[in-house]
Amino acid sequence: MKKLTFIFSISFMLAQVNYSGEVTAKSMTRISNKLQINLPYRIFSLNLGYTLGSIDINTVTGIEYRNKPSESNYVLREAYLAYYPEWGEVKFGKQIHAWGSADGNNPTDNINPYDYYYLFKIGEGRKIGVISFSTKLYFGNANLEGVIIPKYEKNRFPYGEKDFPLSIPTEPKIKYPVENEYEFGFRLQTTLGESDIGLSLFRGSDRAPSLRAGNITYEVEGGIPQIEPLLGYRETLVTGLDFVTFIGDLTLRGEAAHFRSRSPILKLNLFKTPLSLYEFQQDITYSQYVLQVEYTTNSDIILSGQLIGNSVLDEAYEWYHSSSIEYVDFPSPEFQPGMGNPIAMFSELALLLSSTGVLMDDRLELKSNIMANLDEKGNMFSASIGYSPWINWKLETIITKFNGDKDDLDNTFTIMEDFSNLSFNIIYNF
Amino acid sequence: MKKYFLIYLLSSIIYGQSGIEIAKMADTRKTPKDQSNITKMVLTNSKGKQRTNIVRSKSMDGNKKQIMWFMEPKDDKGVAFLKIENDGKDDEMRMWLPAFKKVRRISSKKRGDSFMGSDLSYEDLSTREIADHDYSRLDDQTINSKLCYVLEIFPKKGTNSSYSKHISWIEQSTLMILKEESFDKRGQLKKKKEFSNKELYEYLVMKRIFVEDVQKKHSTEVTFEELKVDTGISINLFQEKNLKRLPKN
Repeated sequence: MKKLTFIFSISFMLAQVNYSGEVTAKSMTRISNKLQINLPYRIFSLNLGYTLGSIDINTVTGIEYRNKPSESNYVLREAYLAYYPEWGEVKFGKQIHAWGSADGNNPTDNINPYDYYYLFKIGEGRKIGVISFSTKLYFGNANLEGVIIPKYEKNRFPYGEKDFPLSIPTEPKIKYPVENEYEFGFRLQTTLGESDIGLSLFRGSDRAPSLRAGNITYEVEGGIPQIEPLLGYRETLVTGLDFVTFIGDLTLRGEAAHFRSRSPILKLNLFKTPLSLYEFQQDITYSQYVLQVEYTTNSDIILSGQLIGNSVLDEAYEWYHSSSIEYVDFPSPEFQPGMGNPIAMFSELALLLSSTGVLMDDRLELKSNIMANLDEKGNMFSASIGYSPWINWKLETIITKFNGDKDDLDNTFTIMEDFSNLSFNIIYNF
Repeated sequence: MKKYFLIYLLSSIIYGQSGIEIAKMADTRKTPKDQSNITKMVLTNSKGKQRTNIVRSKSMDGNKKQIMWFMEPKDDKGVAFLKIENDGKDDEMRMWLPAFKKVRRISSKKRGDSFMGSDLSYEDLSTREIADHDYSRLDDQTINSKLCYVLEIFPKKGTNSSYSKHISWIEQSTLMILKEESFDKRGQLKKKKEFSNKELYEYLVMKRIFVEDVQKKHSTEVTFEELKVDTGISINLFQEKNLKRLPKN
């Protein structure tokens, strides 16, 4: 034991410890009624890294805080061991991965589930870490990455949050949890001339639940069937392509993904299955893409546009009972993708325009974003002013406004109208 | 034959080397195989307000391969930058953005873009290829009692540059640049740069650059601290995986 303590102390003394983090105080006010929007946010985050030779230990922890009632929650977002040999990198632990070339809204990036409380945050901030083993091999101008996930993780949705319009009152009960939790993926990236191209493949279970079976009853014999939905998760295979290239002063980033999503067989016991229980089988292929164009003006204003699309290519479904071969024609619910770009829930075709500029030696940062629904009516506009009065401090004001379609109450932008808000943040980086 | 040689010798003595010859001499000056330092940039605006950026930098092949890890300001800590200059094609530039957990390839075509908000552009940080420029020699001048060659340098047609010309003062005894003025595409003076150097082992290396953007009335002072040369940096350091890890020294 003494030997172990000695070795540990020596290695700690020889190692390099890096840390960085952020403390945030946030207030969010609904524009319509000037009342506080009471959702949790990360009040504190700490990235701690320990490096010894070719080995790193990294953790990302945080405290999630809700203003009213005042409550806090410790969150371990990442904790992994990384080994960097000459030929590449090997990592194991709870990790957040990032695939694809676009700056957000990536359809090919499906390894980590999303935290919908942070849907409007950029980058890794809206992802949930997964226990995974990953390795990346570098050879010449190319690299090959492989990821294995032994334990399934689902998206985090804000259930029962009256201040978040897309929230549903209670967390639905999952009748059929994921049986085969193993997930895997590969990504090959190479440089071709002055472009980078990536090809990827990922197989896993949907991050959001969907209908897997139904208890079918009739109020009157031969009448309209009443379906009590029983939820589970589909299995999805994603093949993706991403690229980045430069044309003149423009940078083009693009991604496209093809999803094949199928319900796994429930393996119900023929003799124990109630007569009312029907299994729901779906076999769906859908695609998502994002095309991003960016340009930096002479005054260092970064302009960026993203065209985001998704469409169902083929949809087949079937209800059947394990004891019968009789064809039944119960209605099927509207398809909701269980993977891919989370913005897909807002629109089938959207245009996102953004601009970022800094003034006064980076002390003042101005940002604006417009998301227009090209498929139906609706848009979202946000603008922010960030000012740094002292080094490492930032005061930020953000206005976010949703405009829906008053004739279409099911339109996601209409639902989100009441979420239009003004937020004020004080951020300290260390 | 003897007559021709005498004429050549006399003209060399009278006119000395041509601009391109001086540029080539400066280019072949003995330089370290690799360098590492902590680069401190102090940005000063027209009102005198200052902001400091600190990066850790390692480079080799005369800065043709360079990797930088941003240390300050703290909201940029962890961001890292990799540049590989390729002969005959565009440079390869990548940035590690911890907030995205992604190595992002960035365009090297807009070489005039500011580096970290400073008065130095990506072009200022890149090697000036001799073959891509025309050189003409002006009258020699003395700066701080140091006799200098003065060269006028024009990017050749087709060269990706945000400048129309530079005037460089190169110390004759050391072949180190002491001063430079750079002119924008309209021919207006854009930047004034002053350089100071120090001796490190058998090399002369840059220890300070002062850049003033005369149009923006803004300046940046770059100092190179903890300078080390020929430490045996491996070419493998300039791989994107190393952007994610801050080196110990």
